[in-house]
Amino acid sequence: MIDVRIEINGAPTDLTVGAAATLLDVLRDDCNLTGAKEGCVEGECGACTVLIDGSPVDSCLYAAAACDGRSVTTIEGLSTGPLSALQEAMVNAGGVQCGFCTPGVIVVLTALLERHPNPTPEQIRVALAGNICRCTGYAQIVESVVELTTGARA
Amino acid sequence: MKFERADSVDFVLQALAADGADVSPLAGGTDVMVQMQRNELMPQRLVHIEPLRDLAEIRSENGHHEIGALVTHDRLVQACADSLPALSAAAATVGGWQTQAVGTIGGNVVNASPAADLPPVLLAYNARVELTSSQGTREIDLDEFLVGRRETLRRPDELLTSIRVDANADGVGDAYVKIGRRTAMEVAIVGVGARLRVDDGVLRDVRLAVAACGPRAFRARGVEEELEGLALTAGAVPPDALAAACARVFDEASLIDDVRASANYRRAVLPRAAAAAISQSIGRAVGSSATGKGAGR
Repeated sequence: MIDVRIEINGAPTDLTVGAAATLLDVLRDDCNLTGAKEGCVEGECGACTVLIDGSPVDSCLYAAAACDGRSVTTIEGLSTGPLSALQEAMVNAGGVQCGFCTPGVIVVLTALLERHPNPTPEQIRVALAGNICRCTGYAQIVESVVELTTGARA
Repeated sequence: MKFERADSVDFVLQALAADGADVSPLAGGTDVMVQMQRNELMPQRLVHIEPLRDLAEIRSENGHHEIGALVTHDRLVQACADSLPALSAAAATVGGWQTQAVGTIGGNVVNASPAADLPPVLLAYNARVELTSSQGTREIDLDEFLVGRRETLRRPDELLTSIRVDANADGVGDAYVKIGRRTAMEVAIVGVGARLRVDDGVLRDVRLAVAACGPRAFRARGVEEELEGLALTAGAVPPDALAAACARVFDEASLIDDVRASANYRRAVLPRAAAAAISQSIGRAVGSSATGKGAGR
């Protein structure tokens, strides 16, 4: 076990974690932040995506101990209370069906919009290459970002 | 198992010297964490090396590039887009954003998965790997370093610290062609890296390397031999000559049925992927001669 201090959604958090404990397990089990989902535990599906120092990472493959002194943002940290503009757009465009992929998708898209405020559909799809959605066929997800950034209703 | 934070390269080297195979350096973890979860890797000491930023530099001088082992794929995509386009393209296909944000060139090489994306391009670049231990450093050809499936010549007390490749001079073109079931998040069914020079309409220094068609990425020396010195016709290799040359790719290939594809499928697409890589490289080479390297960029 090793002691770490991780800034989680802005709050410095002291934890004692196993040597190879994943950030996903620690977030869900020790911090009760269950927004990040366990989909595959192999870094293939993106349902566990969180931001580490602002970059999207599969938390199922990242050691919690490696986050000492760093900042982690989960889906819970992306809005406090009302939905963010991106989340509203996602709901309005029909981009949420079963909802399992949604936290990971929102985390990635948030990171994308921070870097590219007006992404093309191609850029959106490339950004989401590491997120699997079995319900929407991705179309409404891409549309939600296009609608958000252009104000156009497709 | 102990998790340890390396505060210096020296710390890692001492750990490796003391406990060798019981030590696993941990960078992005996109391979190591999976191996541990499958009990394929069970280290006593997990040494976190991501903070060692000295190992994450790219130095370009004297006609070559030295890429630190901890350079991440997303950084390679950006930094090498103009200087080493095939490497940039290959790095862009290693998983998705999440993988590229933390996965490293060092990890991709040292884990030596037969289908890994960077090795075929690096082999086409005549890459050399630098291995460092508490005893000093040595540099060996990547072609020698890769031994078999997940097997390399890294000694238990060594850390892969950098990879050195020649720069693409004027008249040089490169390419990475990857065959998968879909565009994203694919482990290659066939991967081909190529680099060549077009000198007065003649192919020189042809290098072609293949991944996912054998236990390790390999140089397709038969193909290289056929193409070396070939004169282009209307800026291209005549189709018959190209097909004949690419048929030589089977000299070294060892095709099997696996979870991703059948041997028959690989047999069908491999020579075509090789031909595509050659053609794309020629296109880039001819383009670079016309405009000059670095013009306007």
